[in-house]
Amino acid sequence: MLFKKLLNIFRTKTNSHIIKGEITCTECGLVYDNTLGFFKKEANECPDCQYIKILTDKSFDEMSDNLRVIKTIRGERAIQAAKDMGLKLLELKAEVSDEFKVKYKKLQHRKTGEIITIGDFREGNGSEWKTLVNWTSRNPSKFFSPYAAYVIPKDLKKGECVLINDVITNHVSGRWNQGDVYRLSKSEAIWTGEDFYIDVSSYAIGDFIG
Amino acid sequence: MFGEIVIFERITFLMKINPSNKELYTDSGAFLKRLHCPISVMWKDMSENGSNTRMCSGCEKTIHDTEHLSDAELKHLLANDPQACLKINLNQDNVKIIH
Repeated sequence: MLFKKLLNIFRTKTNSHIIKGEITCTECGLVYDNTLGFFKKEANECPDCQYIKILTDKSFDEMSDNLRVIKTIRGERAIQAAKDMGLKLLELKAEVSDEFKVKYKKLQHRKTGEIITIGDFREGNGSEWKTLVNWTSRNPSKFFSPYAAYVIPKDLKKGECVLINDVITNHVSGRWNQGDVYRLSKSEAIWTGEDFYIDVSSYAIGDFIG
Repeated sequence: MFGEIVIFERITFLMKINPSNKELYTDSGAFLKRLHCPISVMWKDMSENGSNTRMCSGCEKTIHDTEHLSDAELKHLLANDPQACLKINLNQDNVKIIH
């Protein structure tokens, strides 16, 4: 109900002109450019609506690993909606560092036509596979908006440890000796009273344990 | 002869892991488990309690170093205990990375 009210405030006019790479959001009617892949292919809501929904998503109220979960919202519309709801926010600039990269190579099976992506130099490919895209790297992290914020619970105490499932700032979670550099997307953090101290070691990549 | 077999075993890829979601698969692509630890523990801080295992002081479970496990041993381990804790390093020989 609250989500519908918020949508009415921020609703954008539907554009009937649809071209390749655009998806019409079923919630707000916005025709969204998906050429950069901010939508999941199967998604039918624009990123703005997805983040506005987070504001009213009760599942975030559940503890995870005995820690309170902090909501991350992205995009001007979600941030404005949060402000209108009277929520306390920690707004941060969201820009992905160029440092992060994963390498890949695309192969196609000569008989079946199957296309696979490999990410490990050690993975050999027999003569039955032909190279479609030779080794190259990409930055797997991308944000649809430079605006992002953490929603701060009003009773959050200085020194409290929390879980952030969508970290806004840039931290290296791990480096692989083949050159890949991974961005920390999830982390435990400690509220300093003004900011979060991101405990990179809590979800760092190196030794995977679990 | 036996030595040759051991060397072959060590250079054959046996597992696949996706570092993004920490999902572990066999070389043939069968899902094994999703690695998840609710406690921030470091392998180097654990005490050895076997030739390829260490004791986690956080939960008092034994963590198995997969570097020395064969595909069959790993499957057997998880079949007997699906919650068995594993340690995998990105750079070990019997793991390849998938995205």
